[in-house]
Amino acid sequence: MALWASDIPAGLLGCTLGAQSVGICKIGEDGIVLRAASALPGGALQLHVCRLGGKPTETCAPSRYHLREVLQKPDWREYVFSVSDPAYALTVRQVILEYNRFVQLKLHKSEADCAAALTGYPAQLDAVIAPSFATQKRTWFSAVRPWHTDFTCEIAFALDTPALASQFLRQPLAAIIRQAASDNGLSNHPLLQKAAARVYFGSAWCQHLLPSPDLLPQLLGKAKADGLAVTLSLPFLPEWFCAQARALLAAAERWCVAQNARIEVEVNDWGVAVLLQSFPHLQPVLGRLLCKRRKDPRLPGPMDATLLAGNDLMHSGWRAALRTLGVTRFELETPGYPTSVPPGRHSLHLPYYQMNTSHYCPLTAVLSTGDRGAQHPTRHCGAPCSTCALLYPDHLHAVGKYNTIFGCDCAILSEEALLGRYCEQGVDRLVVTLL
Amino acid sequence: MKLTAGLGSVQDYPQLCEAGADELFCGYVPPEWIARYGVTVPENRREVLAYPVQIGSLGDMEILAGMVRRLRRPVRVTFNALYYLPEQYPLLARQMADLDRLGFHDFIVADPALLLYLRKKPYRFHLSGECADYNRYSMSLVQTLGVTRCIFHRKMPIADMAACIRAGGAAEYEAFLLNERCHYTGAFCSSLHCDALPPFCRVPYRLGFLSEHAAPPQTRAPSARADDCVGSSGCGLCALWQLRATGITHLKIVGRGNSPDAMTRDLRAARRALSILADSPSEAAFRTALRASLFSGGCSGACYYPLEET
Repeated sequence: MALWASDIPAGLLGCTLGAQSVGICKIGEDGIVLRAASALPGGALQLHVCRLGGKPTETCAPSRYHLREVLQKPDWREYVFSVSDPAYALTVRQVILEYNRFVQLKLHKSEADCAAALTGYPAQLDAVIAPSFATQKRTWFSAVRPWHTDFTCEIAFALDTPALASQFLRQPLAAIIRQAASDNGLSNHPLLQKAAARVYFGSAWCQHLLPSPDLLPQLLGKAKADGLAVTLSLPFLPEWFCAQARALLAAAERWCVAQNARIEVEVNDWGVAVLLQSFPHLQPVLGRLLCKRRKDPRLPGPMDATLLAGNDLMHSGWRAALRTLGVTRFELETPGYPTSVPPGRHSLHLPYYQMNTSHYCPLTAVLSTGDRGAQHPTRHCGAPCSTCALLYPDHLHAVGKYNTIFGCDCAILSEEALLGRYCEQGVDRLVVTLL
Repeated sequence: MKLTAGLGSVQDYPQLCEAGADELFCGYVPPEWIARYGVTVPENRREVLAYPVQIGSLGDMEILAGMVRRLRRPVRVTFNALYYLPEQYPLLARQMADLDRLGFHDFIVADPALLLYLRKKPYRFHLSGECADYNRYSMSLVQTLGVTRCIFHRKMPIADMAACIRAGGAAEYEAFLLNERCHYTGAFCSSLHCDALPPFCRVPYRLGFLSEHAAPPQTRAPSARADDCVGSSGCGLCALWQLRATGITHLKIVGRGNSPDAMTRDLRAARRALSILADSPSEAAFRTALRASLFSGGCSGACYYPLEET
């Protein structure tokens, strides 16, 4: 008896007649039932089979098929075909059995076991989580083999917490970097031995991590005295923060006017881009939350790495639109697989990349309720991120810090060729953040 | 306020209309897109193949167009991926042209680059909640995009919605009402979603200290909540009074790929809630009547619009 199935998802199985796609009601080893609003389009019948696990799509064109009957339904007609083709029968059988296997896995197995069965994901490693973030970093970075090439990019260092910003007022940046490098087991890495020419203040993720309008001029003054260029990172802009953001930018603008200077502002909210039109001494750069890309330590995994390399920043029309906002520099990240760099001069943040960011604090939710999803808006932050983080399986090189999950691309710290390719494409600044 | 519900299969359209949907939204992903891009660079935010979440053929969209003419509940088509490759913009334009010929003129878009690419087309665009955060300043940019509807994201406080509506930028405003309250913000979610691997927010984790400690931090055990009630994965029903007062015109019931029976239950509950809203003289009365009618056994606590903690 021939194997039949109905309602196989269109993502797995499509059908075309000539150039037009049509819906499949049912499919079997010896037939197929198609539906159409009225008459079927003309042309040869072809099945399009998408296999799970990233395998290429297959097409199957049965050599012998004929229409047996037409059934009128309330909103469409069903066309019942008989098919006599061993290759077609084999393809259909494989599709049905594979889909059935997928359904059974999803019904009866954990997500990790499904991943292991479908992709070979090392699910057993998900149980291994180090006791602290410090322990994780020590393990991750112990495997780093520092570069030998002296890259000529500008080096920038991110002081992305209030504590680091305060430290900067008391110490030279070089001392802060030396300490951070030592804490992370990266003292011998040339990235952290080369003198930084720029400092990033603020945060691309959380409003509570920004310097106040009173503190910011002090930071800017110190940076100028130390010969450092400045980029101020701002996160997304909820309404409650609009007035404070405007005050912060106004403070920066006043300082720049007084000092006849300019600073950059990392824009992660379109509202900030609008605000900056009123502050001519503040140069917008497109921030990491607006440079859209797939970022996940499990990539490329089942995905096509060549397709992952590009994004909308490669579109000249979009870049032209961004130039009307004064944006020409993009703050890129290295997400663990090779990506394309748009024309122009851009920054590369490493080794961490953003994966998920929440409007509300997941850490506060976990600490106060035990449930990461039970997040609430809060104006008053208890700074849980100064002591705690969400720790993920060691093998994934990820951490939940602040309101964000970050991945860590350790490979870029070891493989000069990777970094060299970015520099060849136009990256002229490396921005180091050590969480 | 109108209810807009996710549609995963063309066969479900009549049932969801009967259940109370005022409009529906669906994804359209033809075989040629899947053959070239799979879900590596997906067409919309249902980044899976093995679930009934997309209309997969132009033939089925033609059937759907006929159903829409018969039952008169419009269908919006979503192209709300966070970004596309440059080579995909002409393909998307051709697909929209095909759909436009069938009678679908409203498209949900998240990529501002795509909106700019299509700005001369005579379609009506809805700006997806996956696009960005919104505030009084960004609404001026929204105005320049010429969208007809702005869809606020899941984690947007109602007060923020009110500020954006006051700032203007669109004729209609949509807010999430039921289902899939993610732990992270959609517009800022870059992680992998696919059939074989869970999204990163479902990867195991635990709370730990930054520095080395003997024991992990203390946390509370999560409260027990009802998990088989309406909105168990995300609910904004209690906030309907405020949403109406704010100027929200459309309420989103997420669920492309959910069973039609589950969507029917959700739509009927939402209709019941709107009926209670219409009959209630005050917000307090509304909430009391809503809880008695729909949540007598308790609710999930998965609130879309939680009160701000002080």
